[in-house]
Formats: sequence, C-alpha cells, structure tokens
Amino acid sequence: MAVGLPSSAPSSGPIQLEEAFFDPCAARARRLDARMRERLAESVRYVASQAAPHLEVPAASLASFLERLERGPVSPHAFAAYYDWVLALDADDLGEAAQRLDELLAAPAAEEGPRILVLGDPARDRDANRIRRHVDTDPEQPLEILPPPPGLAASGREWIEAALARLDAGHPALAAEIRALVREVVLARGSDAPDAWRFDGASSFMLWGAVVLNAAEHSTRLEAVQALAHESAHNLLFGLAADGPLVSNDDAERFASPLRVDPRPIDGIFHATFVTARMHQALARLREAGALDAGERAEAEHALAASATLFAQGVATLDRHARFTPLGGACLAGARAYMQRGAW
Amino acid sequence: MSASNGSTKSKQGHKVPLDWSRLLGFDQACAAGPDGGSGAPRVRLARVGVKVGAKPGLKPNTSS
Repeated sequence: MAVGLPSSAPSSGPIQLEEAFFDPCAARARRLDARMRERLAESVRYVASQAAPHLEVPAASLASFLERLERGPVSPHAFAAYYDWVLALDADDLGEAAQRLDELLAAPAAEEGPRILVLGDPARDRDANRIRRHVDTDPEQPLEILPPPPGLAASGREWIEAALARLDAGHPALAAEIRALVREVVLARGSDAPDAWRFDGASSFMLWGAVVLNAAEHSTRLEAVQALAHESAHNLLFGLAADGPLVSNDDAERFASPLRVDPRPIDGIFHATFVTARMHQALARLREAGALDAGERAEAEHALAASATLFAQGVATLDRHARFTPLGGACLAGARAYMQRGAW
Repeated sequence: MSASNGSTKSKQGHKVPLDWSRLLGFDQACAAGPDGGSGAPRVRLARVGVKVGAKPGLKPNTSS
C-alpha cells in the first residue's frame, strides 16, 4: 500500500508500508536516501523555475548539482542550503536567496558515513552556523550549540568510534544502517548558561544525514551506542515520513513526552517512543552477542529497564491521543511488537 | 550571483510564488494541513522538523 503518493512519483516510487518495519536495514536506508535526493531534485527544479523570473539561476551549476544528486549521497549541507534558499524566497529577500542558491549548488557529494566532525565556531564558520541555525529553530525552545574544547572533542570522537566498532561486532545490521543513513556526526557542546537546556543530541529534517551529539553527555561506550541508535532512528523516521506525516494531530497540541521534561507535539512523542525502542534493541543485541564486558552488562541492564519504562510511557500517551496515519501506525506497530516480544 | 533586478526585494506584488506542497518535507511539517499562509509552514517545519533529545529530568541546567 502506498502512502502519500505524490503527483509525480519518482523512479524509486513512494514509501511503502512494507518498508516501515522495525529492524535496522542498510538497503532500506539507501532507498530512503535515494528518495530524499529525488524529492530534493524535484523541488529544486520547481523552485528554480518559479524563481527564474526574479533571480539568476546558473543553468550549468544547476545541472551539475542535479547530476550529483542523482549519482549518490550528498552533503547534509545541500538539504540545509535548500531550506535556506526557500525560506529566503518566502521572506522575499532575493539577495539572501541568491547567496543560498550558490551554497546549495556548491554542495558536494558525500561518502557513506559517518564522518566524525567537530562543530566550528558558528560566528566564523559558515557550515557550523548553518548547522546551528537548523537545530535551533524553535523560538519556544532555544537550543544553543557551541564548539567543544579540543579535549572534549577528542574523547567524544573516541567514544563514537568505539561505539561503532562495538556495533559492527555485536549488532552489525544497526551499524550498517547508521553508516547508510548518517553522513556526519557533528560533535558539539551545550551552553553553560543557568537557564540553558542540556541536550544529548539533535537531528533535523533540514540536515538530512547529519546528527549533532553533545560530546559532554556521552562518557561511556554504551552511552555513545545509545546516542547513535537514537539519532539515526530520528533520521530513519524523517526518511520514512518524507511523503507524509506519521500522525495527523495538530502540532500545536502538547502532551507529556518520555524523553523531554517539556510538553511536546504528538509527532515528537512518536519519535521519542520509537527511538527509545531502537536504543533498547541496540543494547539488547550487544548483550545477546556477548559483546559487553561485566561493567557494561550492569550498565546495559539499567539502561534497558529505563528504556522499557520510557517506551511504555510513550506508547500510553500515543494510544490515548495520537491519530496515526497508516505509515505511523505501521512504524509504531513494529516497535511495539519488538518491545512486547519479551525475548530480550 | 546577484538578484536579477539588482535589489534585495522582488518587485512589489511579484514575490516568487511557491506552492508549499511541492517543497521537500513541508507536507510532513503540515500534518494538520497547509493553510496557505507563508509563515505557518515555516513555523511548523521548525516545530516538527527538529528533534532534540535529553535525559529526562536533566534540563534545564538549573532546577531551581
């Protein structure tokens, strides 16, 4: 069954409900990435045609960019620059739009990831500033991300590399999906201001393929494993929902979330609940594979119990309040079946 | 590259027309249905397009 069939379906077709299964799958991740690139190409062609009477659109650069998009993965900055371009046009700021279009068309191809990068100074580094802007979008909930000091960045990199190695050994399907979905892990830190909110990580639809991790919040290998499972699962849901939403609730509605202390839209609670199940599975599979030492097994037991509790809280809220689309219903059914299986 | 008319604004009444339903992800952002307003999809994308995670009970930095 197709979900949200677009008027001009791309060659790879719309999202199928059969693709909303829970277990990690690198082949599906690559299909979702291809779809996202196709959607981006369609929209770039459309917006360029609309903008052409008002803005110079360099045909050769546009053709070259579209060819890169068709050939394979591109930098998350391509998606972010696209949104910058569209929103500048919507604001009727043609100078800004021209600059953003230049940045969009210059976005490079990317290898499968993840590259582990350190956030630069958003005040001086254009890429860092773009990442900052696209994770700090909610005026009701400002999120300041800052460059981590070198020592923190180095330890963060070590934890992420160790976590990926552990997943390669103990849960290779998730490791492969992460490598197919996530092009860049950007290490950052949060603000020390007393009224600032602490964050573990952030993912943005507008930065498809990038995740931001707080290098100060992941100080064990298993915390890094869970962070990767968590943020990559957000990206999986972004890709699955590229054709349409997971829930049809009004996003102004707010409910208690298992992973946030502030009330969130149902879509956010859906994401939180799903990614909690993925975090649980990551640890459970490592434990089953005998990939944990004694200290890690104790840490995993505690985290598994916490994830199970948080998942149950999230599902209870969703069951009471969510209006699932067929896609959302299928995604949650897979997560629920995994958590109810009890084999872990 | 520069704007074709050399200004930072399009001619009055000729803002680039965009059909939000043809923009990547805006149908996801507009779960309740796009209302055609130029500001609403932007706000909705900001609300549902970004996911920030944290350990429950650990934020904000101060609990006082």
